[in-house]
Amino acid sequence: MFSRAATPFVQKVVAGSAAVTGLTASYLLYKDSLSAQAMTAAEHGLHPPAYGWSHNGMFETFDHASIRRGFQVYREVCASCHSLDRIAWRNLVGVSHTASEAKEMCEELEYDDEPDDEGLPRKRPGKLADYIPGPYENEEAARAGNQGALPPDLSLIVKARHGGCDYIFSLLTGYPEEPPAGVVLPPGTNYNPYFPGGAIAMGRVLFDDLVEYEDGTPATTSQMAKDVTTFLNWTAEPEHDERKRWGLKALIVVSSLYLVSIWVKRYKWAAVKARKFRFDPPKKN
Amino acid sequence: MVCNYIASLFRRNSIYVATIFGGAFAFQAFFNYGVTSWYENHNKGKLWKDVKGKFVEGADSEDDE
Amino acid sequence: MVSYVRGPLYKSVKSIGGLNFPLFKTYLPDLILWGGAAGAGVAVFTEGVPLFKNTFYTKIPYFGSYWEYNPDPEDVPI
Repeated sequence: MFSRAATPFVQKVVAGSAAVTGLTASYLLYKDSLSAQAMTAAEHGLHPPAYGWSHNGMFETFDHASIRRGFQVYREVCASCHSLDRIAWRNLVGVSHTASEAKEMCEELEYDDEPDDEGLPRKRPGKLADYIPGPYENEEAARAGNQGALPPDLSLIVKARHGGCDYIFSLLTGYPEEPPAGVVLPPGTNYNPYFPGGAIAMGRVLFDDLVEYEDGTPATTSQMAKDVTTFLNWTAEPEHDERKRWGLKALIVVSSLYLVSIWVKRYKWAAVKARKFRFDPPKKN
Repeated sequence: MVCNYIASLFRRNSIYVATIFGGAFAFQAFFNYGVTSWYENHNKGKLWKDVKGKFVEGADSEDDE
Repeated sequence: MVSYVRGPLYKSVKSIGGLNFPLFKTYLPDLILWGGAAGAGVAVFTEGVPLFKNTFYTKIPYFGSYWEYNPDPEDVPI
């Protein structure tokens, strides 16, 4: 009785309910994309497209010319609000700057020195071992200077955000002229679809020809965003180039050992696998 | 015969151990040299030593792009 | 009459701590080989040590330059 095939009527009911379910789900998803309340797609931010970074891939190093230009963008633009606590001047040497260039940059700055004989604080010019100073003394000062918003430290920002480089680049270049109709922003914020929630305290900062590159690269908005993102990826992963070189070595050695182990297994088992049992029944009388 | 030479490596334990260590020493140097050469050639133009000459005047730009 | 000898006549070779010269001579090739093996073992693990690099490995013919370390002083953060 249960093995009976579904009648045409039952088939129609099943197909109809599947269609209704699909259309309802599509409609709800569409409605969801129209609003920006909690637990909607807009709350999580627009997903960035995947860009073809020059360091994408297992064996690709950073583009060091880009790191150098990106540091220039950081220093002239980002550094007015964002710190870079984990990078010392010495880290730039041999990566994007020469030792004398790095020395020149840090010696322009003043760092705390040991107190003098009477215990009074002293200052000294920077050394290569000093870390790049942030724009604010502490978090409270940073918030006070930015209407309560804290500009995050950028040392590890590429690792700390979903989407990594793609997200940072999209965020920097993704400010529309006007927020879309109907978007209500809290005071002191700007609209950026890539930022979760859409309301970001940072405004658009990169505009064409904001900096002048020493190598003559045209400083378009996207060029600067690309360079500073590459730079921030380097600050997040200074070991990147060496890591990929070691990865190549490890892959070669480990896969060779794997192939050798397969060969040894087949060699050792060859006799077992190739043997043949034969049973000759005793002849009956 | 090549086989005899290879077999002679196993005949004495001292030769066997010396071959292993000597081979390891030579291998790690050659392997590192080979991998690094390939890696730097593969990424030519992106490495600091390749772009240094573009930014720093008077630097030894032996690796011109 | 047959003259019997009461026992074998032992003659001891000069030895120091159980080691004597003929024995040493038979062991000599193997000892040299073991010395070479130990040297190669040390070389494996000191391949990256600057003192060993500069003293020995840079002097290896043809490939010695691999261990030479002459960075551009501008690339060293000092």
